Order: sequence, then C-alpha cells, then structure tokens
Amino acid sequence: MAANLSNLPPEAQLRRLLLRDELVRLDQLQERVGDDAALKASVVPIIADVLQDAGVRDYQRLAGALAPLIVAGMKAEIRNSRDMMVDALYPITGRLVAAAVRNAFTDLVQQLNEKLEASLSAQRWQAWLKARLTGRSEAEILLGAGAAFEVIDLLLIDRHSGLLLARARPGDPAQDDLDGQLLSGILAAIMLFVRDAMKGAREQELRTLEVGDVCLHLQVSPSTILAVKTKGPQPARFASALAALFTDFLAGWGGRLQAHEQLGAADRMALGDDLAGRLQALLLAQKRNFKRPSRLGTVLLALLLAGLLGWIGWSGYQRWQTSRVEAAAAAVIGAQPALQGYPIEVRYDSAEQRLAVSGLAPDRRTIEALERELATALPDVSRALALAALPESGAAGLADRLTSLAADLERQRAEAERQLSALQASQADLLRANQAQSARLDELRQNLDRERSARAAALADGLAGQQSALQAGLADMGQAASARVAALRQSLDALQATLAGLDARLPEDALLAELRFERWLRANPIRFGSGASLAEPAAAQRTLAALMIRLAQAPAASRLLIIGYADDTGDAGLNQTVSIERAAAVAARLRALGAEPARLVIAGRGREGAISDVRGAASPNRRVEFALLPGR
Amino acid sequence: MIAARKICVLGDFAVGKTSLIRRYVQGSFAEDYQATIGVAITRHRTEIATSQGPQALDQILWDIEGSLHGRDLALRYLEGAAGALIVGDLTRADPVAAMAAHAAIVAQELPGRPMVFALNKADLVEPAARPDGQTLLASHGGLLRCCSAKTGEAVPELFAALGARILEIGI
Repeated sequence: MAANLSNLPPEAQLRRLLLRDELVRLDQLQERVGDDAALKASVVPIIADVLQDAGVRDYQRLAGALAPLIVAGMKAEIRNSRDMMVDALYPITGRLVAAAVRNAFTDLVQQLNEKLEASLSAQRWQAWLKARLTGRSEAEILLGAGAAFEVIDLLLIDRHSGLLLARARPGDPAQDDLDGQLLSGILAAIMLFVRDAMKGAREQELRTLEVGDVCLHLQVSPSTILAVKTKGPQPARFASALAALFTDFLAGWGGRLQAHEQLGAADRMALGDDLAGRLQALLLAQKRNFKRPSRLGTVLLALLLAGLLGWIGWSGYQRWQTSRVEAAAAAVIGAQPALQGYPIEVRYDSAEQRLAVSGLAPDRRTIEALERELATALPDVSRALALAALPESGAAGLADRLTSLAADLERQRAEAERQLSALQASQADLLRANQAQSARLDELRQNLDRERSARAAALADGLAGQQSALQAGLADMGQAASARVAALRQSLDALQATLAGLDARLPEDALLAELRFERWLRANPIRFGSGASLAEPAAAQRTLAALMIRLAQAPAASRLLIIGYADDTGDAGLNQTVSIERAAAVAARLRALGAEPARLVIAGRGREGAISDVRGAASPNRRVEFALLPGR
Repeated sequence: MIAARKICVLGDFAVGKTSLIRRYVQGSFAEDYQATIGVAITRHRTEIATSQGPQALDQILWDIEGSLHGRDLALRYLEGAAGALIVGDLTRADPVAAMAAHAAIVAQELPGRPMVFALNKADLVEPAARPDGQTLLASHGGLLRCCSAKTGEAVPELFAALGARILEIGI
C-alpha cells in the first residue's frame, strides 16, 4: 500500500490519505451495482424480500403496479393451457349442460302443448279442409296464415364488459342504424341487474326480452352472451336450434373469447364471418321450420319409380308372351288344311296363362288333331278348346229348313201389309169426323157471342133507367132534408133566443147566473178546421152572438178567457202558434160583435187538453173554449 | 376494427357524473338534475393520442348510479371495465376523501386498471380554494384535474388521458 502510494502524484497521495474509507466503499459499491451484471447479481437474492416488504408496507400500490403484468400473463396462460382450463371450468360447464337440458325439456313441453292445441283448434281443421281442397300441405297453409318469423340480428357480447365482439344481420347491415355497442352494453347491464336483483342462481338467467312481436333471445355462458333479435311468433324448435348454435360456437371460440382483447384483426374478421355463417345456417333451418332434413320423400320417390319400372317390365313381358302364344296357335291352325274357311278365334289370357280357342270346325277329328298339334307346339301353356263340329248329314236338312223359313217370312210380310192398309183407311175416316166436329164447334161459338152481346145491351139500358130514377129520387130527398134541417136550425135559434131571453128575465142572484154562464161556455166551444179558419162559420157566428148576450149580462168586471187548442198533427211549436191564432180570431169576431177589448183575454194551449183521438181537419181538438174570469 | 373499452364513471350522488359524460359526448350542459337509476350507458368514439401514436377508440361509458359504498349490484357494474373516472364535487366539504374511497374500491375490484380523477364544479369554486389531491395521485397514480361540466374545463383532457392509458397498457 505504501509502495503504491509512493508511485502516485502528491495530490493523489493526499486524496487517498484523506478519503481512504470512502474510496473503499466506492470500490465495494462499484463491485455490487457498477454495471448491469453486477446490479442483477445483487438484486436476485433480495428481490423476493423486497416485494414482500413492499406488499406489507403498501399492498395497493404494489398490486396496482403488478396487476397489468399479471393479468396479461394469466390471459396468455389461459390460451396456452386450454385442457387444464377445461378441467377447471368443468363445474361451470356442468351448470351450462344442466341449463341446456332444462331448455330442451321446456321446448318439448312447449311443442307438446302446441300440438295438442293445434289438433283441437278450429284453425287446424280449417287448414286441414283447405289442404284437401287445394292439394297443398297443411304445414304450408298454416305457415302462410301466420305472421312470418324473422331473425333480425345476432350480437355476440362480452358478458363482463358488455362490449360487442361480433354482429351478424341478414340483408344490408347499413340499413340498421341501431348502435350495436350501446345495445350490447345495455343488455349486459340488464342481465347483471336481473341476476342480482332477482337473486337468481347463475344458471337461472334472463332468457328473453319481448316488446310486442319483437323478441330478444339470450344465450349466455359465464363470459359470453349471444343475443338474437327476432320478430313474429317463435317456432317450437327455435330455442333448441339456438342453443345448439351457441354451444357449437363456444366450442370453437370459447377460449379465445375469454381473452377477446388479445384477438387480432384477422381473428376478429374470422369471428364475424363465423357468426354470419351461423346466421345463414339458422335462416336455412328456419325455412325447414327447424326440422332436420328428411329423406322420407326421396325414399318414397325411389320406391315409386321402382314400382313403376317393375309394372312397365311386367306389362311388356305379358304382352310379348300373349303375342308369342297367339302367333304360335294361329300358325298351328293355319297349317290345318281342313280348317281353311272356318271361323276360329284364338285368345291368350296372360293372367291365367291359358289359351282359349273357339269357333267352328268341320268335324270332331279335325278338332282332336288340332288339339294334339297345339299341345306339341305350346307344351307349357294350358289350353281350352271350345270348337263346335258340324253334324255329318246336316247340309240337306239345313236347305229344307231355310226354304221353310223363307215361306213363313213371306206370309208374315203379306199379313203385315194388309193390316197397314186397314189402319190407313181407319185414319182417314177419323180425320173426316174430326173436321166435321170442328165446324160445328165454330158455329156454336158464334151463336154464343151474339147472344152475349144482345143480353149485355139490354141490361145496360135497364141499369141506366134505374140510375136516373134513383138520382131523381135522391135529389128530391136531399131538398126535403135540407128544408127540414133549415127549419130545425131556425127552431133551435128561436129556442136559444127564447132561452136567453128567459135567462135574462129570471130573477136570480149573480152567483147562479155566473155558474150558468160558465156551464154554457163549457158546452159551446168553437170548432176549427185548418189553421184559424172556422169549421162551421154559421154555427160559430150563432154561438158567438149568444155568448155576447150572456157576456153583457155577466158582471161588468168579469172577463172572458178565450183559450185556443190544436190537435197533435205536426210540430208542437207550430200547434202552439195556431192555438193562439184561433183564440185571436174568436176574440176579433167578438170585438166585431161589440165586446169590449179589455174584457177579452186570449190564450193558446197547443196540443194540451185533447178531448179526442181523431187527428186532422175533423179533429174535435181543433177548437176554442171559453172561461169566465172573475172581476179584479 | 376499432377497439372498444368499457369505462366506469364513479362518484357520490349528484357530483356531476352524468353531466361530465354529457359534456364530453354531446358538448352540452343542463342545469336540471335527474338522478341516474341503475346505470346509463353511452358510447363515444374518439381518436386518442397515445405514446404509440393516434388510435381510434370506442369508449363505452358506464354511468353508474350514485355511490358504490355497500352496494353489491353497483359493484357488479364494474366487471370487465378497462378503467375508471372518479368524480368528486369541489363544493362539498371533503371531496378528495370521497373520491379516495371510490378509488380504493376500484383498485380492489379492478386491480391494475388505470384511474383518472375529476374534481367537478370548478366554475363554482375559487381557484385558491381547490384542493390539490396529491394524496390520490400518490396512492393510485393517473391524472387529477379540477374540471367543470358546465364550462367544459378539462373534461376532454380527463377522458383522453384515461383512454390513452388504457390503450398504452393494453387492457
């Protein structure tokens, strides 16, 4: 050390002497953290203790600092250890399977209910009848009758963040401006709310949201939501088809969807394409009403074609067999000289495989020879010969028989001609008799017409005379009656005048006179016809004259109330007016007869106080009545 | 495809969470107060300046009703969030303490997710009376600004800072 110091410049020797301990520490520090390798070697033994101590002192800050690294590492580990994750997630998938089975049973119950309801409903029977009439299937008719079911939108949503992962829609997506991200977030929030607010178990999730005929079907896994927006009545098998779609989709994408932030652009594109493809598959399944494709039709068609081909082949074989057998039989018959010119028919029955030969043959021997030849030529065909052999001596007898028959025919023809002539003669006689009868009938008809005219003229003359006589008699009786009525009226007027005079002369008190006057007033109304015209002007004038006499004898302070009435024909308001006009007309006539206007009071009561059911101009209700008002 | 991230906006009742979102998304402000029931979700697409350059981001803003304290359902709404905006009311007695309580819940439920802090209603408080909130930053990091939903002061800056942090750390 001293030797080393002596080699140094004086300033350095002085620095060493003064700062020896510090320089030693600096050298030690240089060895420990002087470069990256030294620093790494120094930190390795203590880093665990450092993190532990930091966690104890400030856990939150340490966790916040390390969390991004840990989260990223966990996500990478999840991707790289899928098998282990499957084991770890088995309890969750078990719940999913339970939920799927429950859904399947729910669908089954729904289908059974729908079938039961459909088999009993009037719509079902209408569809059945229409199908029979139009030849279309019931399913086609029912499908056409109901509102169409549409799949409108598919949204794949991250359950935790509510972020939209992929979306697929039939048609042009640009036509729908619904914000997918917003809808996804709201759906995730709604599901969170429902699950927590309703305190349901995880497998008891919200499954559908319905507004009118629009429905949002929700398929959920622990990390993903598939929302399917539909419109119209849901087919029975749609729920199970949707569950199958979601399960298949998760089998392909489930692991990667849990770390969807790590998906690259290509993966996201593939995710969208996959969802679009599954939407197309769902739409195809919808066209089949979510039934599996059936091969029953193909099998039936093949069976039908096979049957048709078999029938055609069998028919061809039978025709060929028939023509072959009949040709062979004809050849055998043609080879028999004895049968030339005889009518023989050959027919083969392919169903019974029997050859029938019928007709005439010259003799029995020829028939037997023909049977032998046929047996040789067609050994595998059964035969039925129905040939008639001519008798041995039949030719001469046949000629005699024919001659006899011709003679009989000639006799019968002559007899028929004779009977025809007799009939024609009888017909001519009948025609002549008929003509004579017709002429006689015409003559009788003319005589009858002449007689009817003569009698009608005589009757008309008699009636005219009688009518004239009757009219003359009636005129005489009318004149006599008029004279009698006039005489009676004069007598009546005289009597009334006498009565008035007698009344005036009778010494009685005022009250009695007033009562009598009132009774007289009630008994003598004035009748009216249409409007304010009097029904019987002369009689009315007489009544009013008598009234004037009585009114003059009544107390001077009393007044006469003139009340007009109408019947119920027409408008009530008009009737009220007419009743007042009638009262006014009577008052005018009384004033003309000398009545003081101050003593006359008029009133109209319309159709009130009816005294008769008769309506119209002859109604007794069209009247004016009187009442005496005491003096004021 | 544009990235989308869920961002929760938290704070006590009536501190102005909904108003801040309205100012940020619609550029408007309403004086009347209507309490948010449950959660209101808004989407806002914007371009965020990050350390790697500008990047488009769909911010799915979850405006969560009232306070988180003692409410399990509200805590559920935090699930899957990439970050949080904690809102306090400068006109109240100790806004920073309330914000710290919410920040602690976020740090526990969403470890490692970035937070920014908005001291709202700055238009009603003198600058000298505004707290500095350094304790929040010391505990949780992020950005703290006095802001105003009414005037728009510092509102875009807070959302942009939160979006940038989310994109930079790749959550």
